[in-house]
Formats: sequence, C-alpha cells, structure tokens
Amino acid sequence: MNPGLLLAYTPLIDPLNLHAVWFWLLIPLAVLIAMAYKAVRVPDMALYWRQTALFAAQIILGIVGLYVFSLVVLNWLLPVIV
Amino acid sequence: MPVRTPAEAGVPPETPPGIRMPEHHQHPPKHGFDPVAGLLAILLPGLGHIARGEKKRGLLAGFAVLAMFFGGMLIGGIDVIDSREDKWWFYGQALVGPIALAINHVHQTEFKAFGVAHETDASGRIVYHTTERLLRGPHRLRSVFPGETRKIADVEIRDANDNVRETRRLPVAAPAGPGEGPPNVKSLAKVNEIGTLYALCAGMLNLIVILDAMFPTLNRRKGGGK
Repeated sequence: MNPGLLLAYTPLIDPLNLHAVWFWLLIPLAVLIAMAYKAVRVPDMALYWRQTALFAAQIILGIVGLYVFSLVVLNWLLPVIV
Repeated sequence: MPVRTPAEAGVPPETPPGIRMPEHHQHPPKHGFDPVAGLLAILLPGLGHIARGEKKRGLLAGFAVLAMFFGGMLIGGIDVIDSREDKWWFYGQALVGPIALAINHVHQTEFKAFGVAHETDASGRIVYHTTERLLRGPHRLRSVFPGETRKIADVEIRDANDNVRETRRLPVAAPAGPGEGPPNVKSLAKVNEIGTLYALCAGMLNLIVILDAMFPTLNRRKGGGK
C-alpha cells in the first residue's frame, strides 16, 4: 500500500486494503445475516444462538459448495466438453 | 387397546388418520398488525421490536443489521453508499432507513465534486467553466480521483457560443497541490463489491425485521426469552 494513503486512512471513509483476503469477509457476513434473520424467526430465544450457529454454518457450507462446483465445472468439465 | 378418533387424539379433523402433523402445523402462528412498531423499525433497525417489549430480539436484530451496514462502510469506505454511481445497489441499502439516506446525502454533498474543465487566464487565475449540457453529462457530480482535490469555486456556465451566461459556486475536482488530495479514497474491485454487498444485505435483512415488527407473530414468547 502507498504509505501516503495509509497515513491518510479514515475509518468508514476510506476503504481497507483487504484485496488479498476478501473471501474471508464472507464468514462474518454469514454470521451477521444469521444473527439478524434468526432474531426474528426463532419462536423461543433460548434456541437463538444454536439456531444462529447452524444457519451460519449452512450459509458458509453453501458458499464453499458453490466454489467447489464452479471449480469442477470450469477446471475439469468445460475443458472436456469444449 | 381402544382406538381413538383423530379428535380424541388432538389431531385436527382435516388431518388424514394415522398421520401426526408437526406442532407448528397444528397451531399455525397468528399474526397481528402493529403500525407504530413498523414505523419505529423503519426509523432505527430493531426499535420496533424493543417498543413491542421484545427487547432481546430488537437488540440482536438491530445490532446485526447495523454491524453489517457499518461493516460494509469499514471495508469499502463511504464509497459503497452511493445513490448516483451504484443506484440499484443503493435501493436495497436504503432499506436500513434514515441512517443510509443521511450517509448517502453526506457522501453526495461533502465528498463529490463536478469534474468541470479549467484553464489559467492571463492573470494566472484558474477559471472553471462548463455548460448546462455538460453538467448533466460528462461534467456531472462524481468522486474525486487521486491527484485531484475538492474545492468550492466559481464556475462559469457558458452557452454554445462560449459566452458566460452565469456564475455558480460549485464543488469542483481541482488539480491537487502539495499536501492536498481527495476527501476520500475510492474503493475498487473486490473490496468495493464486498463492502457494497454487506450494506445491501443489511438493507434486505432490515426489511424482514420491519415486516416482523409491523406484522408480529402473536403467540411467541414476549420479551425475547431468556
């Protein structure tokens, strides 16, 4: 990163330099989506954190599944077909 | 062993004999209508549930929605909330409520500038000039790029014959001098996409929270449980 830009960094105004690790940011997004959704969906709040963890895990596994599917299609299936 | 009828067994009459429906199918949740809670939920994420007495639900939903929204801004900067350059994304982000609208207003009025033409006159003064048509097109309000700074300047609005029709004070993107720079760094590529996605998800989730506050499920535990 340009040292001049680093010195001038203002949180919430300037972007963070997270280009190399952008995919890890999907994990907190999945957790926050699960937290907001389950806060209004669970009938009994005693089950809240368990349901939230389960839903977040399902989202993350879904994203990983899509990644693996895309990898297989693009790297192995398409070269065979085309 | 005596055979019990479905009614004796507590099963609704429309249920086929021998099939036991799940609890939530036997007693589907009832929904009410609470316009005040809906309005409060629009004003601030989670406030509708707190006003209804479901404090824990409201606090958790509000925290998650606001953490997603400001998390997106932390990742991609204020550039991810932009009704001009990312119009369709902003429609979803605006569902977070007045906070999103206020931040977008600040972004448009305090950080952006018109990319008008400039030239140095005989006395060495920089003159900014454009036309009405260019202000709506190529010289429109935009982000300030690296190598530029934002200044409030008198801009000559000229007609087709290059005659000055009027002068307006406008924010302009001017060449940066020593120690000057743009008011914010424009986010690019994946960082911009992820930041925009965070703020969009916050808006979409808040729509669910608003609808749940406005049309609450009546037979669930008040106060949000333990």
